[in-house]
Amino acid sequence: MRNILKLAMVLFIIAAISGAILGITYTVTKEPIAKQVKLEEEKALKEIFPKATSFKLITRKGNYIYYEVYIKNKLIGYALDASGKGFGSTIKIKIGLNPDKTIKDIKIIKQGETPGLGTRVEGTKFTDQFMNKTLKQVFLKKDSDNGTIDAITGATISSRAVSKAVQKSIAEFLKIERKQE
Amino acid sequence: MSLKQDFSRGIFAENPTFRLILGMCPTLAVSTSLVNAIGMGAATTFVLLGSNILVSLFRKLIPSNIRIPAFIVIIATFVTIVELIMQAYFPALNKSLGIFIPLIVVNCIILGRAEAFASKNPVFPSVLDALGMGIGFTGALALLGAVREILGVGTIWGYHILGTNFNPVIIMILPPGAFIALGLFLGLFNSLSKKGKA
Repeated sequence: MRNILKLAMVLFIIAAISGAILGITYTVTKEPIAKQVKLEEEKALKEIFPKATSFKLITRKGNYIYYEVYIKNKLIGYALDASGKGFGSTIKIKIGLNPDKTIKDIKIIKQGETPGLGTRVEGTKFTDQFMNKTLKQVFLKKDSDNGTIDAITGATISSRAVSKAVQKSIAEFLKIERKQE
Repeated sequence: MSLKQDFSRGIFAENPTFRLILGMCPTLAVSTSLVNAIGMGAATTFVLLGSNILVSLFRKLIPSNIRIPAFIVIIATFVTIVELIMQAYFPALNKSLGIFIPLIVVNCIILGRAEAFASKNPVFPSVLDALGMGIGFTGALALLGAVREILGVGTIWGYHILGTNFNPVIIMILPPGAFIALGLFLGLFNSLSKKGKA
């Protein structure tokens, strides 16, 4: 009995020390990490809309958020967030829409897919396929007759996750937009 | 055993990848390019160094029947530190290594060295052991990564070296290519070590 208590105490102390060290590391790295995430999002928006002068945050139905993108006072598009479950992680995507609701471009801002395979959804070779497409076209070729997106060799699940997340986000956006008008 | 051997053992005689065949999961998965291989090797070496030092420091305080959970907590702590630091300061590398950073926890090289070496030896030899094993692992990953990147993409460290006419052997950066390259390297190292003995 005594022995068990002693063992538990030792493990408890080790876990407590480790918890304290992790707490410190977390506090130290919290801001740089948040900054990296924000930088990444801003970079993605800039890359999709290089000429934009302002982004107007729009909140609808509580949580749903998108940006209206302007050059001076002229609306040049919308920026949406999308996310979906990939092969080993949640993939986060920024989508840029033209005023006519076709896709301007997409950027992957966060993912933890298999290195060398799923991570290649970030490459422009894959994401460029979404340019100028409508909601109905952004299916994988192997999933739909209307599909126009080629999946990445060896990374079908990651590719499909991106296309599904994009579909879902745009569909939701269109629904909300339509109700507005 | 001499200190020199503590250090060099991990690099050649007991190279974790090519001689002990330990830690195959990250080896096969992350050796798709030289950058990934070195990043993974460095992260693993850091964790190995930290866990070896702590395990060795506390080796007389940790009762042997709970040593494995104690080692795992220590290792997991260092892995989480590495993960947070990478997210904060090396976002690009963190992105390309993805899930394999948290998975360093289950890399058997680290638990293996804690159990087989650090828990029985003083701190200084444990540091040498961790450095040797870490360098051995990093070197092996870098060899695999370089070969696979050159053949599979035609680049090295991201730079094109084989010209635009080169048609990449895509299978080399896919999982089968990992097994093929690893198998060839294992054969090479086996024949080298046989020659060394003869």
